[in-house]
Parts: sequence; structure tokens; C-alpha cells
Amino acid sequence: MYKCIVCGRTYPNDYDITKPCKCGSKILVKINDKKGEPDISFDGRVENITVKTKGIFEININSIITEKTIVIKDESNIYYVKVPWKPNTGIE
Amino acid sequence: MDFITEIKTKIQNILNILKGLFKTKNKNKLTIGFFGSPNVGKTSLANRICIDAGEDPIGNVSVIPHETREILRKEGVTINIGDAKLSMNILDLPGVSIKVDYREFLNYGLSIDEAQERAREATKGIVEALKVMEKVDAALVILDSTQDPRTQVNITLLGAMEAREIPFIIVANKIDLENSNVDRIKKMFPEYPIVAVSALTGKDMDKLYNKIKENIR
Repeated sequence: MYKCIVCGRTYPNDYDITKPCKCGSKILVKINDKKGEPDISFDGRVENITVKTKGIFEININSIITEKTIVIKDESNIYYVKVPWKPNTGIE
Repeated sequence: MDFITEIKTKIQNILNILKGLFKTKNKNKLTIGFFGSPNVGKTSLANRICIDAGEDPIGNVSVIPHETREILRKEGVTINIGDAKLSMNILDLPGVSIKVDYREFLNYGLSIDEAQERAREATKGIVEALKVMEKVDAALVILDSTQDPRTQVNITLLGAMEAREIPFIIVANKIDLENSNVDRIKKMFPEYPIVAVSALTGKDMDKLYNKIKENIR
């Protein structure tokens, strides 16, 4: 199921997501059919950064934006959790 | 003027002064984040704005992806637009991508160790760039107009900004290149403000400044 992030309308899984929502927004996110919440974990994974091997990283950008914790899974399947992540921007 | 009218006028004057103070405060503190994929020209654009404002460039540009791996900041950059002044704090952010692979950097002459370290720093930079979204007052989402705009990075960034009600402008960069296709971006995102510029040559930067004034200020 897809959900419009602007008006909240939902569309079935076979909806052509290249078409805009009825409200005009073109941003539809995949949601979990049972919970009705954005499926941010992607296939049930908890990590948002996966170290495939040294120097190769896969990044789940959606979950990094939405989640407060950073969960890193390394090549040995060891998980590292950083809570909370605060960027060093100089902005108060 | 009766007593009540006099009081109302005085209260209104005080409110106007307070409103003005807060407006000035916001004006001075407006922080704009430069978001986008690697190599779309974020630092080139930030440098162009700094140069137009008579400031030193903010950072180095490179053909090697992920040259900017930590947040670069420049405060109080002021651009003159006719009689008006546009003052902003610039946050030039690391490029966002869904995968960082050190082997890509080997093509540019880096050693394996250098490439792996660059990949590690780039990944950290991506997290910093995404997390800073909640700290900015407004954003420029920079797209390379020679590339297909329909990417997970672009859609995720724009969707997240829309959901958080962060004012943003899409900047279609690199219009100096022959294969630039701004219409493709306009068709993809018809409901969003879009300005086409060349950060390299400075073409149409005045349009960007006016758009920031209209949409963000």
C-alpha cells in the first residue's frame, strides 16, 4: 500500500506511483499494510547502515531521516547503535 | 482620542515593535542547507554565492565524488538584490547517496587505503547531512540537470522536506552543459519552485536570489 505524505490518501500496492496523488503531491511512500505506518525498516531490517565489506556501505537514507538512532551492521553481522546522533553544525 | 483607543494604539505599537524585532532576528539567523546527491554542484553553488557576496569560497570542488565529507558553514553571507539585501548562513552539506563504494574512488588514482577511508568519511557525512535537516530554516535541493531526476535520493529528500514543512527550492544546476534538460525536472516536480542556473558560469544566479527572496524569506 502507498500513502501520500501530504494528504494521507492511500493507494493499493498495484498503484502506478509515477502518477501524482489526487491532492497534487507526487510523493507517495510505501507503508506497512497491517500497521498503516511507513515501512521504514525495509524488509524487516533494523540497521540503517550496512557495512558490506571494508569501504563499501549501504545507507537507508529514509530511516536515517526518520529514526533517532543510527544502527550500523558490520560485515561480521555485529550491530552498533548510536543514540542519539547529533550533527556538529554549530547551530544551536 | 479616548482612553481605550489610546491604549489600543499603544499596544498595537508595542506589538509592531516586537514583531519587527523577531523578524530581524529571523532574518539574521536564516540558515539554508544545500542538499543533494554527490557531484551535483552543491559546493560550486555555495562558492558562487559566496563570491557574489564578496566573500571567500566555502570549500574545494572536485570531480571525485564525495569531496565534501563534513558540513561546511559560512555565516552572514549577504547578497544585494536591487535595493534589498539577502542575508543567510550557508550550510554546504555532504552529498547524499544510498551506497558508497571505495572502488569508485580507485578510478581517480586513490590508493585502496585512501579510497576506503574516503568511503568511511563519506558515509559519516551522509548521516550528518540527513540529520541536519531538522536544524535548517530552509533548503536548496540541488539537482544535476544533465541527469535523470527520478532518484531515490531526490524523492526522499523532497518528501522529507515537504513532510517537515521546510521551505525549499529545487536548483537545476549545470545548465551550461549541452545535455542539460531542465524540462525533465519541471515535469517530474511540477508543484515545486525550480530555478535553473549554472553555478560554474554564474548564469541566472539573480533568478535564484529572487526566488529565495520570494519563497523562503
